[in-house]
Amino acid sequence: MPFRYLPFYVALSVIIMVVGALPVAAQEAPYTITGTVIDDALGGPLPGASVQVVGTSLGAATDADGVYRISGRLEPGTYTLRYTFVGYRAAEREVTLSDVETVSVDPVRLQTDLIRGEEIVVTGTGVPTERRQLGNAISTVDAGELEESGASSIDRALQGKVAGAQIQQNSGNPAGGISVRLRGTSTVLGSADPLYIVDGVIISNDAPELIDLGGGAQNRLVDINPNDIERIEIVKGAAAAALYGSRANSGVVQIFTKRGQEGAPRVSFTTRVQTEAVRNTLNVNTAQNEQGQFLDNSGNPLPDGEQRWDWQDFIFDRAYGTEQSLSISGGAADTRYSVSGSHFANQGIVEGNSFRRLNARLRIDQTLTPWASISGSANYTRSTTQDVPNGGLNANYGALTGFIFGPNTFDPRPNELGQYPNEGILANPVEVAERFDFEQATDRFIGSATLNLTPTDNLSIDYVLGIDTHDQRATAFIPRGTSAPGFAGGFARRSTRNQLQVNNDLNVRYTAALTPTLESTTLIGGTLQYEEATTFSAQSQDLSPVSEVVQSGTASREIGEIRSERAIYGVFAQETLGWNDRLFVTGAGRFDASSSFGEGERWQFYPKASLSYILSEHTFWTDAGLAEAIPSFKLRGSIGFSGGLTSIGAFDRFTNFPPQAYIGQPGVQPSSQLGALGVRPERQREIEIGADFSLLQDRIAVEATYYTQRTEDLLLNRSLAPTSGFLSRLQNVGTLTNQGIELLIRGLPISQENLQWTTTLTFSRNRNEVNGLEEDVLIFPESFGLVGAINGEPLGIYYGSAFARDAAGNVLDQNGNILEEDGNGRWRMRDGAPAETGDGVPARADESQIIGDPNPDFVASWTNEVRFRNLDLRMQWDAVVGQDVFNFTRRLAALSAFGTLDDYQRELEGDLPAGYTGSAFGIFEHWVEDGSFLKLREVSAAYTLRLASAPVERVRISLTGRNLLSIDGYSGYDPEINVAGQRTNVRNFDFVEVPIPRTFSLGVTATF
Amino acid sequence: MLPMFASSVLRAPLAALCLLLLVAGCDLNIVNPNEPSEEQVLTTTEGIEALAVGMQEYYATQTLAPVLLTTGTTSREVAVNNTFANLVNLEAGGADLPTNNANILQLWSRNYRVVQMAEDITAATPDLPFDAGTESGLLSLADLFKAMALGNIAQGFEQGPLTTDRENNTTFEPREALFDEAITRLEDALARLNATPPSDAFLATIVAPGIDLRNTLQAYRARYLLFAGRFGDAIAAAEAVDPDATSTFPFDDQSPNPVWDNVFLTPNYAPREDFGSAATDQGDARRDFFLTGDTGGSAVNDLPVRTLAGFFGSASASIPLYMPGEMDLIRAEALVQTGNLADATAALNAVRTQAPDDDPLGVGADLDPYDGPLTADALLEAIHQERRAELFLQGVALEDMRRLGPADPDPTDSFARSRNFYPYPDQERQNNPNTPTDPAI
Repeated sequence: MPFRYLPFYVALSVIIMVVGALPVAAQEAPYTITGTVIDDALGGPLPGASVQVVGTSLGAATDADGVYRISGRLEPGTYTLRYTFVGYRAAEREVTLSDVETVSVDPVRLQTDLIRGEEIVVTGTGVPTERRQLGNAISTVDAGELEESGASSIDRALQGKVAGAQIQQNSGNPAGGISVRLRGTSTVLGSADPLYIVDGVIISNDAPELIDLGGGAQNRLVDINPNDIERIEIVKGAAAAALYGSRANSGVVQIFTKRGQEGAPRVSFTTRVQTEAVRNTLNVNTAQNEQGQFLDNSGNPLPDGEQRWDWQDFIFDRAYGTEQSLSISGGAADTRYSVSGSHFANQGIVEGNSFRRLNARLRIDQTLTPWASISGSANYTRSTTQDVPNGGLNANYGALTGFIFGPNTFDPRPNELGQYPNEGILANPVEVAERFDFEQATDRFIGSATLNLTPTDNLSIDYVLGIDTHDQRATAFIPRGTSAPGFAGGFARRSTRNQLQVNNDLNVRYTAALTPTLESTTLIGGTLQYEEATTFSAQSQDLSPVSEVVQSGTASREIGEIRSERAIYGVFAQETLGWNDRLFVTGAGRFDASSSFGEGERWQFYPKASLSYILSEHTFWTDAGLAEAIPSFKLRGSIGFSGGLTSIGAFDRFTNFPPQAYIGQPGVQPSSQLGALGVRPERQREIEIGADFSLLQDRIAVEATYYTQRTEDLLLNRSLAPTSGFLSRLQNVGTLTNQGIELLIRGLPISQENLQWTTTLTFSRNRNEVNGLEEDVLIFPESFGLVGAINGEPLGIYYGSAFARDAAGNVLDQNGNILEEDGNGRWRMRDGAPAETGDGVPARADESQIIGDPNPDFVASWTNEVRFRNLDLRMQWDAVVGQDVFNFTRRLAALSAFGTLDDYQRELEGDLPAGYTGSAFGIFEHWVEDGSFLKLREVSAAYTLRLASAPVERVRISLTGRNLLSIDGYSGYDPEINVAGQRTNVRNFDFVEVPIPRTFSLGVTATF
Repeated sequence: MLPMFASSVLRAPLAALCLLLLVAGCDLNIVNPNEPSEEQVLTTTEGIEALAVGMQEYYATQTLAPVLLTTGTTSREVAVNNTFANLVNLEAGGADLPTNNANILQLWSRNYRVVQMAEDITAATPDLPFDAGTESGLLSLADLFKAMALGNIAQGFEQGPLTTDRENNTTFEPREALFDEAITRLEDALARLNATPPSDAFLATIVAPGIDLRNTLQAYRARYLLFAGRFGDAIAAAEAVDPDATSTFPFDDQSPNPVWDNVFLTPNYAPREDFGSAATDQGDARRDFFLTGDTGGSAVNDLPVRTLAGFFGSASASIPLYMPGEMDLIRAEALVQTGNLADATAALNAVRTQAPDDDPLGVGADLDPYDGPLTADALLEAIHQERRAELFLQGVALEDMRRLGPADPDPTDSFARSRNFYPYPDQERQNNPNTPTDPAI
């Protein structure tokens, strides 16, 4: 029995010792197997297809001509070759090896597989499994879909490509943050972004705000080079992700990087240039009187020769970027390798903002014996940004921030002496962009070592050691004598964050045919995970001349250090039974413990069960004639439990007394959060059911899923009466539910020689609801008190002052007249024109109310890909419908003190009644807008040249456009925005964050 | 239970695997290196000593901000200079002041945080092996800060609890009872210090430099006795304060002056021209002490504002716990109330004619002696005006306006208080069923 190898550590140590000493089996002989793979529809060669000798570790990929060549030592006999490629149906061929060393196999034609049933996935199963066997939905995205996206990071590239995901770019900065929500938000305190795994390494996607850039921050997924990605698998909730235990509440995104294939070295070089520009700007206040004189904010004419300016002209600029990447891969006999390096540099559309990323990566796969192989990967990244603060969630010294506070009645550009006018409310934006120096740099190493053993055909053992460590450094420097209020003496800050994550995973898999029709796959595994992070920061003000370093400051000196450490144990077991290749039942369970929780609540059990039933495999399906209409039909269902680890910090369960010295004496002060030793991890239960089927001779494939998630024991900072001496306490109160449907329809309207048209539609609808709160309204921090949770409502609703309305719901002015919205977000008297004071000036309701909801009704994407001979065309439209956006930018600019946009111009010029903007400023509902949009996310055209005579095998030229067009009724820059960055609950908050630019890029890839 | 099974059965092999593979991260009981837990603080002498230091720091940097600036907005000593809704609403005041106002919540919560720290020290100290002088000092310091916090609550709210309660269930007492409790705490502390003087170690390492414990106890006793209407006792207490002594909260980079922070670093407030009083004498030398720069308009309501100076002009400027001149003004007012107008006038003139150079804190009006009518009402008005300038941003102006100013607030008059008392914060009402109804205005 293989199980005698347990416990694991005995097995592992024995294996490690044995592997090194194993001799190569005696009867093996060298063989080379060659052949070609052809795209059945197009009739041409299929490059990149994978060919594997089943039961061995030998395999290769096809080159640009569709040719593969497998070399290795094998015993003579009959083997099965398996041909696979994402998006194509797998094929198998038998090959007999005897005394001929080189064996040619007839060309193999692979057919397009829209339903992708034979695709092998591992995420959520722990075992390489055909998709058709899964009881849950899984989304896969392959390199081809990422390459033409024109996106600089993986999460941007994934936008619109995953059903059930809402992926939002929060800022238009070149390294601006992204939020990914898989099936809605399932925590309040923690990060609601999924768990990311790269080649078995659990990686960090933290977004620390080491320096205050106004609310946004880069998330660390930006360090991964999209060009290195082979494939991405995404599971979205507990039903699929229970094996990941306490980290799975927000879903799992697993990334696989490219690996070498046996054969001659393949060299690929890509160079790309890109340019970005702001897509539209705001209408600034250019108020003039009838004599054509510009007016100040009091309505008085500006002195002769002075005017109102559009400061956006001085802030935004066309940005340029470039990318070079080189990769070499290949392999001989038992060693395969992939090496790549890349350089990406891009300016931001705000002057002075830029991002640069250097990547180097090595991956080696080594076959040790027919039953043992190891692989290792090492990835180094250096990411640097030149940042310009913007937004206004925290700091108020940003560039666009200065623009919106205005007043725009002076020219902000430096005079001939180089002095920046300091007449504005906040810092002069031109000075911010040109003189402030905010920078971040990250050095990151991600490495893994994997040992794979197959002692018998039935047994396999995998061990993965993964390490992700990075140092992120940020510096902020405001020189002396700038226009930034409060920083006249200058400001310097340096903050660093060092993080280490280590994971050890051991999986043992045993497959057995219990009867001729019943197959069993058993998996047991264990994981040990450890992470530590230290943040250190120092800052000061009133700097010495010229000096940019912290110690030169004499005032407001602050230092801070925070350390965090966490350990997680997990063990799991999973059993899958497959009957006749058509009915698959899986049961699994995971025990998990995290050091973040007290001993009494530490160990948690997360079970799961799933079922997949391929009805179309039955003879009755064909007999009943159903196979004609529906060639393939699978029903699936799954239930699982998982936990939420991130919602509590490493030491949050204690009543802590942070140190606070007073004039040189050491002191402590109680935290305002009362401890709660007995808190439990949040627990999610998810049920999903769905069907995958194809129609019209497999011309259309449909994946439809309904899911219902319920997160119980929701961890919240329950407020306490201040007379308790504390303000809050962690408590397991409340529930959060997400219910929704996901739909993916993939069609092949045209498939003929030299012309193929694929169209893909994804649709996701999620309904989120909070319950069990003890307070009437739970207001979230860093939202200006305007975002909260209310029982029975979705998370993150906007809550604040509303319009006064009559019984019929009509908006009223201060004299009780009915107002109507004029299509531009301004309210006008329905009957007549303003005559008396207060006419046409909206009135405020007495009570605060729900005034908006940032959660969309649905998100959808439509992608079309056309391949005509050597030309590939691609177009992707993304739609987000029914979300509200809080246009705080416009609200602020409307107030007379600032008066920078055209709302106040209209009041100055008399189009709006006097007092309109002042009153509207106090009615938050006035500034909540419908943020529905339809965006032309990606358009690309790529042409592949094959030059038979040149040394270059293939040249591919691609022209890509990204975020070209947005069809929306939103009055700000772009409804896809969030000044609160990746914060879980404060969403769609528009407060002078940098808008997402329109991007064009031109790339050339040469493959040798 | 499955988790218990897992815990016992799986733990050993997992721990062994852990040790094999990885040195760090094998222990699920990770010690917090950042800060001590409550248990570690309240059961050790060094923990209590550190808490006593931290309590003073918290009061000085956190509690003082709403005590001086939130009530100072309602009493018109400062104008709001930022567009945040909580500040705009606070300045507007009136009957519609939202009950979720963040500044009012700060005034409420930051005082009860101090009460809780003081209670922790009071409860833990007797059981720990302190020497007698240090124990006496710690208990007296705790009494002082609890008294100041309760006194602040009584000046902003009609009612408030006398103690904290972690079960969210503490009961409310009228503000008079809060003043009485504060006075009792101060008198207990004075008696204790007389019986057992504080140790040198306590004075050197625990009490913040600049704070004069005994004179502060006596001065606050005088202040609250006046507010409580116990005029004879107030006179005696005021006279017991050494007129040459000062008691100030020190500040530095790590613990910056909270008023400076809210006026200069973040421009939330600006000081009103002439201390927000239309009757301020233009020759009053205190104008130049507290106010500098040109007169401008505040950001929201365009009220005339200046640049703040005096005790608030830099991050490290010290803020007095009380003004020496306040003792004369307490005596003057209590003497008027007890019918001794002549001595009252003399006490008032002691402040009016004070030369800045002769004052231990450098604050002097340098005005002529009082020459108005010698009637109780006229004198009280003059004393009110004098308190307005002498006690500028001392956190007592709202109490003074209620006691000595017009009977009713007037939110529309930028020289009149915009509220009498604040509503109880929503966070209290939502969690504590004993929260009383809000005052109308």
